[in-house]
Amino acid sequence: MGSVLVIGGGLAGCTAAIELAENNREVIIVEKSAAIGGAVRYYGCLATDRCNHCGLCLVGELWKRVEEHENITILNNSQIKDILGTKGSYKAVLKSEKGIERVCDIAAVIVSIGFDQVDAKLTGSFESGDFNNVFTGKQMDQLCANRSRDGLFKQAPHSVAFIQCYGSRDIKQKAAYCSRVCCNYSTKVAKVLKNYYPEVRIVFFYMDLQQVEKGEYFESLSKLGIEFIRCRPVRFKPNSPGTIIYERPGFKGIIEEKFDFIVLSEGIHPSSDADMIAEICNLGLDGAGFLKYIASGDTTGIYITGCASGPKKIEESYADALQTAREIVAAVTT
Amino acid sequence: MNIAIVGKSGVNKLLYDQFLAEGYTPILIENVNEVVALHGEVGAFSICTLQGTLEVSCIVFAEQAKTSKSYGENQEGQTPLPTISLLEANYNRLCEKKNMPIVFLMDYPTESPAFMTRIAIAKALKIAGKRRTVIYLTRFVRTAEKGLENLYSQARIAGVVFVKYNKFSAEYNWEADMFTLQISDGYEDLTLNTSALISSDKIMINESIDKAASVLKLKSVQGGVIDNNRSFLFPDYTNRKGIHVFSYADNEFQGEELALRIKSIVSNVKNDFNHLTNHPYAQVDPTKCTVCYTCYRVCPHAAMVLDNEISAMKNLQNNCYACGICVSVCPAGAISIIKNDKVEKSSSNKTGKLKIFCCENSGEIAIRKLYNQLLNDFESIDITAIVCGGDLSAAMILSALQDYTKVLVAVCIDEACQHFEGNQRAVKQVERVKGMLDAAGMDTANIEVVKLSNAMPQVVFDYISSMV
Repeated sequence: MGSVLVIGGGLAGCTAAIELAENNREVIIVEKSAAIGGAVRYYGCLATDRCNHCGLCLVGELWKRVEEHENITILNNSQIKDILGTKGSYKAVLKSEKGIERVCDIAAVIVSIGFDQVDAKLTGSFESGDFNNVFTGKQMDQLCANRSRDGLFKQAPHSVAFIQCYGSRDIKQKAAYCSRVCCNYSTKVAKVLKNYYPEVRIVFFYMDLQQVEKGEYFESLSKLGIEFIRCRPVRFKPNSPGTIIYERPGFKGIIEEKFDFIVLSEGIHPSSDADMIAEICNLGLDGAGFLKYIASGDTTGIYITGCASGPKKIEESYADALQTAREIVAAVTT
Repeated sequence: MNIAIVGKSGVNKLLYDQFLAEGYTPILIENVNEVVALHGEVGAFSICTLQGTLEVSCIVFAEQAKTSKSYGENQEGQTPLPTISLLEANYNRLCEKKNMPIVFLMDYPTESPAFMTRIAIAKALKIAGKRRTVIYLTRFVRTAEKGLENLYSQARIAGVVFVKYNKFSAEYNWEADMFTLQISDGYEDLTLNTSALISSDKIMINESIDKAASVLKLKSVQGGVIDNNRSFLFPDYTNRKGIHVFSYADNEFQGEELALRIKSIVSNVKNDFNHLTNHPYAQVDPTKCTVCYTCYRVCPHAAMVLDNEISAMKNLQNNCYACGICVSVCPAGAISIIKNDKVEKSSSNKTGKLKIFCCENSGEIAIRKLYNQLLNDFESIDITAIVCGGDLSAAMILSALQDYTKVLVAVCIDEACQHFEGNQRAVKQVERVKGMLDAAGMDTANIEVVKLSNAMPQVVFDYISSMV
């Protein structure tokens, strides 16, 4: 029974790897950066006084288990260069710390290259070059991860603006699709802020909102005192950090308002490696640039999982990876 | 210090050596039937045996239970069949047998101990690894025990065939050395030929264990007792201080785990002696006592008895844990806690000992991430992972407060509990304990409860450092 090559050691890759390894398969994880974990490793729990179902608990001690499992080999700082052969007996060419390496006898390949987050500085919206009080969604998540008993910040903020659909639903950004996760995490971050600082003014600028949970979710947020203003695009006032210029439906004229800080709900973009991986693995690209199958995974032995095939939440990515791993196990045992 | 080791089993010699190495004087009583009566309390037990009376401080009970094959042996009016006992089944020898399927027959007339299933599946898995056909006949597979589900799915992947059955009959051909099995699940019938039929073992009623249990006041957890005649299959605990049980279920452990269990018994014995030499206890003022029996009813350690001579309640100091419950309920205000000078000294030595009860889904993972940082503040930290916060009882917290200066309970955040509302039950228990301590006039600042998710290590760290 050949080994399984996992390209990308993020949440999806590691979940699939641990599932395969526990079914007595040899797994090799090729990771581009210095450590496994990908984007999710730095995420924080978004619970307030109760669980908000952010899905991070699913991760648990996954990284430790993957690093310590005897059936898993992790190649950090390595990149896949080519995949040769046919189904059942692939060979892979890697560029690792030791130089060019060749791995033989690969039964299946899992492509879990994940996603790239939008670079805020490359968008046209910012007219001033001052990013001091602008947080990205990822930075907010890191603040939540390192939170203490008393809150996220040393000083309580007075007002916070969330700008939705930042880098998605935007033809100029070549991302006409909805990123699906931003409404979820940004409203939950807002809840966390409101939990620690009940006095803070929170304003959401949106174009439309995704259903996050069952029931009257946004109504419950409004009851907490979170404002929702339908206004996009929003402009930033030059040379005045934190000031936003916007139009409010039902109000005359243009409003200028200063916020303590601004949170950009960044969307999910295809990984920058997607083109190269598509070429190596004989996969297709969809209109947005995410990977898609040309022939299904059981016929080629190359599977796509996680955010490589489109934006996914933590729990969706986790479920996708488990399913892929079980398909691979079933393909050999039957 | 004399310590009696009662019973005959594989671990007795190991226990004997361990006690000898710790500087105690162990005495082996191999024949359990010799023990006739027991008098006294911890520190001064006197065991009456047929040879004479022994004065010992502590007693360790470690008797092997009797087992027998559940199929093939003791069949009424029939000769015993050559089935193989599960506990004695040696897979190397089985694999040498003829090229026929190996059949595991899990058949229990009454409740079965869960570990028997674990042994059976593990053996089935090992044999299946040697490319033999393994058929596992079962009425049901129990996977509720921790780790068993994983083992079960591994066995299925390795190719062990699990067959559920209702009816079973077997014929044995002596000449061909072969069993012919007829199996039915109510819908389909199946016929199997096999040379190796492995029968699960059942634990037999052992009269000597029965007798010892009644003499030594041993008890058994649910499932270990047959209700009809109150017979003990295997006793595993006792409420009596100074008596320790190395239960039958412990006998399946080997190697390091066995050594750990022996060490834990030895340390329990040590704790008994520490407790004897200096501990606080409740004292009844006989002039105020109205013999209303309130303390008798509430005492969880059966330390309150009537003293007929003076018509007042009396505290048995050796049983008393000084938990203060009786103090809080006594309507006459007759009971007070006597603190010993030695105790205050020893408690000052204990400064910085932290006990953490944490849910294995959230608290344990979060705390392990910061374990090294925590060691800077506390000289020793004991982390006990519990399956769910709902398992936590007030007695566990109170007994932890005896040995540790601080107790922290870390459970899941609301709505994230995987057992509906175990976290809320844990919080209630902590509140209850705090109420008890408050009523007894004791400090409640040493107990803290925190709700967190497994990705919030910093929050639990803040709580712990605020407790220093």
